[in-house]
Amino acid sequence: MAKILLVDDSRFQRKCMSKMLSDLGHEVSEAENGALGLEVAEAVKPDMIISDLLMPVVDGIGLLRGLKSRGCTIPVVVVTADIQDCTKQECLELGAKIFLNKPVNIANLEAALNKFLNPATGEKT
Amino acid sequence: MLTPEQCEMLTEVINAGVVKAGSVLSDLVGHQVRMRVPLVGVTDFTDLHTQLEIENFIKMVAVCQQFHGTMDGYALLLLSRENGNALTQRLTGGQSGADSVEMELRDTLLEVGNILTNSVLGTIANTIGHHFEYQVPVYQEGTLPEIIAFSSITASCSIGDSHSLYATAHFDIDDQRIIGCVLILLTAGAFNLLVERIAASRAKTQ
Ligand SMILES: [Mg+2]
Repeated sequence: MAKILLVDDSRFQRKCMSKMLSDLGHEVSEAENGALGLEVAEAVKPDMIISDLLMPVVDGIGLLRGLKSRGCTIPVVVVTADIQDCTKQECLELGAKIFLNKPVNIANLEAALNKFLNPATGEKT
Repeated sequence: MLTPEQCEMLTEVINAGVVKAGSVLSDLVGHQVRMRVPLVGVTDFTDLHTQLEIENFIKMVAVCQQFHGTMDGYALLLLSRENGNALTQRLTGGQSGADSVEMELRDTLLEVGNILTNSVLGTIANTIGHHFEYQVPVYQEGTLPEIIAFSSITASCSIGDSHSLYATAHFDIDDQRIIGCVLILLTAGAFNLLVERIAASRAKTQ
């Protein structure tokens, strides 16, 4: 089981992904924008952050910048509706580990998580 | 007016986006989705309802995805209120955890609208090497003229602009006949730039 922080302004999306993550056996914390995401990340110290991009207050790019400036090494998976090549490029340059497009299903979410939670066995122990 | 060549160019690019949106919607609802070939044209807004085959008095729900940068405009996911409810029910089964039916409708359609409009706009952007700067999408209810007027104001687009482009794509979720459309409206400047960029990217690949 890993601690996952889910940052997305969409209640619908948080509900869907939170269910998938719980079904995969993970403990989920939620934040509805990048600013709250940074606060929760500091408090909870998650093993991984899953973040949307388009959000009010502080967006996903702002979150990536904030984590980078704090020297935070928690892996970030970006999950967004934005399919633009240059957006993906920007996120990867800012340190995102994986860039997924919505809608995600449980299989590609699990594959993305396993890559970073424990690369050797695919599971966090 | 659009020349037949401009119209064909725009339709081709937008159609690729519509196909992408169809496949994404199909993933969301878990069923085949039929998409109609998009209609592309230049209109004044008083005639938009004819092009969209939507009566001006029907209560609609919409999600407006604005974009800015070198091209200004917005994309709308448009559904009748009835179809909006059916799509929401289909996706949440009434189990979204929202406090009310209204909130559930709004939450669900906002995210679906975000995903579908981004499929179309992102495909255009990737084809022409452009970057749309998106705003957080906005949910709206009202008649078609009310939604267009409100969207145009919030997106700072002139609704009287006769060079505005509309591109519509109808979808039809097969087993339930949930029908809706994605509409893109651009300012005159953005429209001219889009046509130029598509022509340039075509010239490069030919
Ligand atoms: Mg969002």
